Amino acid sequence: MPYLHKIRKAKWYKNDDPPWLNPNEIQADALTDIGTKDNELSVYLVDHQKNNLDQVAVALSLTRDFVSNFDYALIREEDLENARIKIRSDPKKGYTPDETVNSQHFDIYEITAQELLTLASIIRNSEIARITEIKMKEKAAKALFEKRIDLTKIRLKSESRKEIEQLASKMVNE
Amino acid sequence: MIGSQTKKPMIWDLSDRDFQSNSATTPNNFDVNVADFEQGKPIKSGWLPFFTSEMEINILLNFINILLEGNYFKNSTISSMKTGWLLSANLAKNSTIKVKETPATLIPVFLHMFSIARDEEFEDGMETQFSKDLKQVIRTTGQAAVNALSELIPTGRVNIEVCSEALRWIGRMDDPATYESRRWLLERCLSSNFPRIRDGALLGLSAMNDPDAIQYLHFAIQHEEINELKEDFEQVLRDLEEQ
Repeated sequence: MPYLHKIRKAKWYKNDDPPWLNPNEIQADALTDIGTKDNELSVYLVDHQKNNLDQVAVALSLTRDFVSNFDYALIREEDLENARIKIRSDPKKGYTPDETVNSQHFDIYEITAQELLTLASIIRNSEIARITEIKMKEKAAKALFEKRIDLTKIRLKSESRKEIEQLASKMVNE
Repeated sequence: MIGSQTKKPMIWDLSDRDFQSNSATTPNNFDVNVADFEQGKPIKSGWLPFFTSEMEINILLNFINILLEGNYFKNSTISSMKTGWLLSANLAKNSTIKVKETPATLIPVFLHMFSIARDEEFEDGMETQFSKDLKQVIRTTGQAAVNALSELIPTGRVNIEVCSEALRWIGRMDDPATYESRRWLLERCLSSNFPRIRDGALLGLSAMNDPDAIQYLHFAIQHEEINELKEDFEQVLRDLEEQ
């Protein structure tokens, strides 16, 4: 099953951006998307059919200041295995307001600098996608409507939170 | 003090507080600390008389621009960087004298702001000092700020990553007075030579959620050569068409 990692999609284009980049090279800026802490990197498990993809995306987006577009990469499990990059489950480090998503938190750990470059290469060849801001807001409102979210753990700033809550209450009325 | 500026570079330490708190008690003054640039030692600290004429304000603004262009603020915090526009904005706000900002006076301020922001880490869904400052400058100086940004961003004169971040906020911020011109800037940036600028413009337009952008997105899709970006254009287009 793949692991979701949040990125900024524009750093991972395969075309000639920036123009000085050779084919198959990765710009150094992309490494900021895989910044490690204690040589670890947080990822979330997504099932093969991606049934829980939206759930993970929403849970992560509710830990931000406001709901925006959500760019992500789906890292294939077998690619990590082939590169001998270590990964382990660590639900305690899942910090989202959705307990189910927290239980799917994993850490890629004991990452060396060399492995980080390999990981960058793996990500570049993985599925990279974006959920637009408008869709993310709808999905977040739906999660609130379905009461999947621990409201006390939402970190959105008041204006953004209000907007999502209004969208959710619209769903109730409909 | 203005007369002494030619002798030696100085640091002006003007914080937000200086501009926000003084008007209640001493409406004709604001606090300023002037320090020796090289030594970092205070030269003068206290109340600076409120400027009473447009000419004096212009002299002061020019002085600030000289400092900015001379990169004298390079070691300063972002708060000090705000000096130029905060000063003029505050003068405009709290006095009967109207300061007319022009793109020419704001470009150096933006250049400096963008330069400092290179050290910031941008993440989707997160505010930064840069985004807060950018919004405040646009809200305070209005059309002139958007015009200045229109000269800087599409051409890639400043850091592309920062430009991209700026465009997201140009679309996201709430300021009805500049809405049309901000949207126009974003629509224009959809055809920038720089993919990350096009992406920033797209995200800004997505945040605006305004169907007026549809025609520009159609045009952008026709000309977009980066497949991933083209897909993103198409997604936002679908969102707007579903409205």
